[in-house]
Amino acid sequence: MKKILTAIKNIGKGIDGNQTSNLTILAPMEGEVVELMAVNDGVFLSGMLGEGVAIIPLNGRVVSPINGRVINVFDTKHAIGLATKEGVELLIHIGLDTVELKGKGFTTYVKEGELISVGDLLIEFEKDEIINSGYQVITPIIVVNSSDYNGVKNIASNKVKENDALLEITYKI
Amino acid sequence: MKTIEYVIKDQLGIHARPAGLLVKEASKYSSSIIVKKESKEADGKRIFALMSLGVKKEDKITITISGDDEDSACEGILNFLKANL
Repeated sequence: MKKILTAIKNIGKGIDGNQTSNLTILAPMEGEVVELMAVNDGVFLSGMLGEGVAIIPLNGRVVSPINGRVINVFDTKHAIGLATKEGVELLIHIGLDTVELKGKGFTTYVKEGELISVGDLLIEFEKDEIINSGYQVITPIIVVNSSDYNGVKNIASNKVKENDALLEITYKI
Repeated sequence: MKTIEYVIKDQLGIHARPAGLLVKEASKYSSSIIVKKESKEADGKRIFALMSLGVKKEDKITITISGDDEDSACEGILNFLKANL
């Protein structure tokens, strides 16, 4: 019964009577999910770059959470910009201030413009090496065009495996 | 229309943090704000477009500002660049 009610809530009318629909973004990493507000960096916790969550990774893998395209690979390899075919723009930023590592400890497997599917390996990083260099590996996952949508909600439990449900984006059709 | 030409001094160029701050500053203004590096252009109010320019230290960027509040926008953006990049 609960599942049916949830499905109706997701596809039916919103509170203001407008038709709404939603899109689920999956987890690009395995680890512990934390709210953006808990991230120790003003640019992310303030929501300036957009809404989302952060994951404290258990390992050094980032896989595609979406079906879509690679928009942007930072040449310092610590961050990647993706877009879903529906137009959701997602930034995955591995660690804080990790731009300073200038690519050391990061390996990218995709290029800008490439089409990607859920589960494709995007980046690998040396988690322990990065932590030993004095950086946090907490990874903000941000919908940079959050203002185009009604809402971006964390729907994950405390811990996620790769490609578990992570964020729900509600948008008006 | 106003134009700013600026050479990036910051070691790390325009990565996520300054891109986010620049978009926040640019979004205060109604004027259109276009950032150009060599032949590539980006809307200064959209993060991904800005980050895709891959602006590094020593790169010269040209910012074109056009609209009703272009004077204050120009001043705001120039102050931002001097303080952050």
